[in-house]
Amino acid sequence: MEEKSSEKQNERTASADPLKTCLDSTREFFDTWMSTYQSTFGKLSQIPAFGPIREKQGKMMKGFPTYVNLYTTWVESNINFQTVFTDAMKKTYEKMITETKGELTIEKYKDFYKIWLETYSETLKEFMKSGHFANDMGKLMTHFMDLQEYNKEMIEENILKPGNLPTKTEIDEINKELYTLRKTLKDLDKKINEISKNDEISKNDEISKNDEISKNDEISKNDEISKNDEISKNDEISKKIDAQSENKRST
Amino acid sequence: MNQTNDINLNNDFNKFVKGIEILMKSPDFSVGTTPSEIIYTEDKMRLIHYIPVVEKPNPTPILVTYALVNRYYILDLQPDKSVIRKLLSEGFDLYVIDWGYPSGSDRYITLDDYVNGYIHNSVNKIKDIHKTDKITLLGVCQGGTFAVMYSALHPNNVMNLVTVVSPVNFDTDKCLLNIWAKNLDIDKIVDYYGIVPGDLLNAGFLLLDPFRLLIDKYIGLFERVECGEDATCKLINEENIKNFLRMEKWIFDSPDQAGEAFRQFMKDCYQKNLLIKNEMTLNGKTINLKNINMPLLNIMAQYDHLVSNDQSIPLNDAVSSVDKELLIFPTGHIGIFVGSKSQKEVCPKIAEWLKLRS
Repeated sequence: MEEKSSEKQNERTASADPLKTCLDSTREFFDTWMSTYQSTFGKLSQIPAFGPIREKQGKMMKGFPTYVNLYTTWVESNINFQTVFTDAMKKTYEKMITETKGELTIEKYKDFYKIWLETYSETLKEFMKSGHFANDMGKLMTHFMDLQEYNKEMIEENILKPGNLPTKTEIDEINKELYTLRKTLKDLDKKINEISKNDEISKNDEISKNDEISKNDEISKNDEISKNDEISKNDEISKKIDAQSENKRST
Repeated sequence: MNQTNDINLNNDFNKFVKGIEILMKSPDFSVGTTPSEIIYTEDKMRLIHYIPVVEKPNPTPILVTYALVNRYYILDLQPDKSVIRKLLSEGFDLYVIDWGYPSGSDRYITLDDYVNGYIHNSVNKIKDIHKTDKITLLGVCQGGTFAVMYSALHPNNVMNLVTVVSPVNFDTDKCLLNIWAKNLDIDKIVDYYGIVPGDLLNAGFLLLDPFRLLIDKYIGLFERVECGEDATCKLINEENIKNFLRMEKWIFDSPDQAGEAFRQFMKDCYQKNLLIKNEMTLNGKTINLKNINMPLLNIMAQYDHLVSNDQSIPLNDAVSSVDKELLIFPTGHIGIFVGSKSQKEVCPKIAEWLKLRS
């Protein structure tokens, strides 16, 4: 829980500036509320739960400080924002006086709009650049998330589960399972693709090897044929020569 | 003096009334109209192929990776302001990853799934189609950061790397987002939401300049309205309103974020700045930016309020590429895609640079 120091309270002394008086009253009221809370309900909520519904009550009691944390941070950041807006309002007023030379008439609405827009934007931007705002926003988001998480738990525990209805936690479990399954499926798909690609490559290799073998077979066959052809040709020639020489001998 | 002001007041009032009249007719407008086909899907991701407009496109295809925040069609917002159309007309074969809209079942998708899953599978698909070993990767904004991660992990698949307004160094106080992110308890946000709402991120973007983005922008729209009844005025009004609505649609079309990916990106990049230190890991593999050895074109916008130049410039020193170039255009984060400089300077420069290297 955020602790409110008395130093902070002392720093926030009321100013004579009329624009600031309202803001300071808010701060004073809030600081008083906070210190009263800390010394009363804040302490009560720390008491450990007991009895038959100890667990449930313990969980439920956690909600109160969670809510107070968010409320405290929200008021703090609101006050900071209001300070910035007050500053921007003052600057706009001063600029209007200077730039319109004191002639603040309705007809100059466009000049007013321009000055208002620029001054407010610049003042706010300066504030947002500061670590102060980033810190405020960070805290606000953290406490908001805490409260949301707490609300979710309470709804699941006290409404959904007794009503036999699915909870977000259970759905997330399924989502995780689904994600893991999808991932496994994708990995398997990839592996199958790789294997089938490799199979295809090795098949192609085999086919080309077979092709080569059959080519070689054909070549050797052709070689044999041509050899045979040649032999038979040669046989024929020698037969012809023999016949010719026999003819010569007979003549 | 008073008469002039009365006239101004009347004019403004008339413009407002006319503007409301036009809006009430709800003009028909569309985005992302460049002809395309879906060539690959995985979970909610779709790989879009834009139909080439030249007979023989450049042999090296381009894969565009856009951010997870907002949608890719800012690159094809309207026909005369389309980065996609311009690159197609320059003769490129273009692919874009559409991440889709993650829902509850996607809360466990990690950054590794995005980079080594979706992007890697898309790259392989394109490689298969084109029967090529390498492609050009063009990353935009956070998509550029992803492209950098991918190029470092799979340098053999990337012929050229182009990054546009992409952060790699997150340690800066020049951008509000970087200042704010350091103070956020990311674990609590992701643990509670699971899928981080796009509207939550949008609220953060609007906070960057709330008065201009929530008030002045709309006043500006009405100020541009022409009150005449002639055809020219009608045409101007129609175009103005359509263009305004297209941009408005894009701004608020914010997909929710897959929780685990969001957690790692915010913590490792925005909070610990691990990427530029070569200390970031994806599924156990360290991303070493020195592995990036391909030609690199790093493009920035001078008035970028989301990714300041000091977030992108360090990339050129972090990589080992010899052929690298850094360009800064006098425009903004969105203007670099839809502003007047986009069609006249940014796209032609990208095209010229790529043609020399593809």
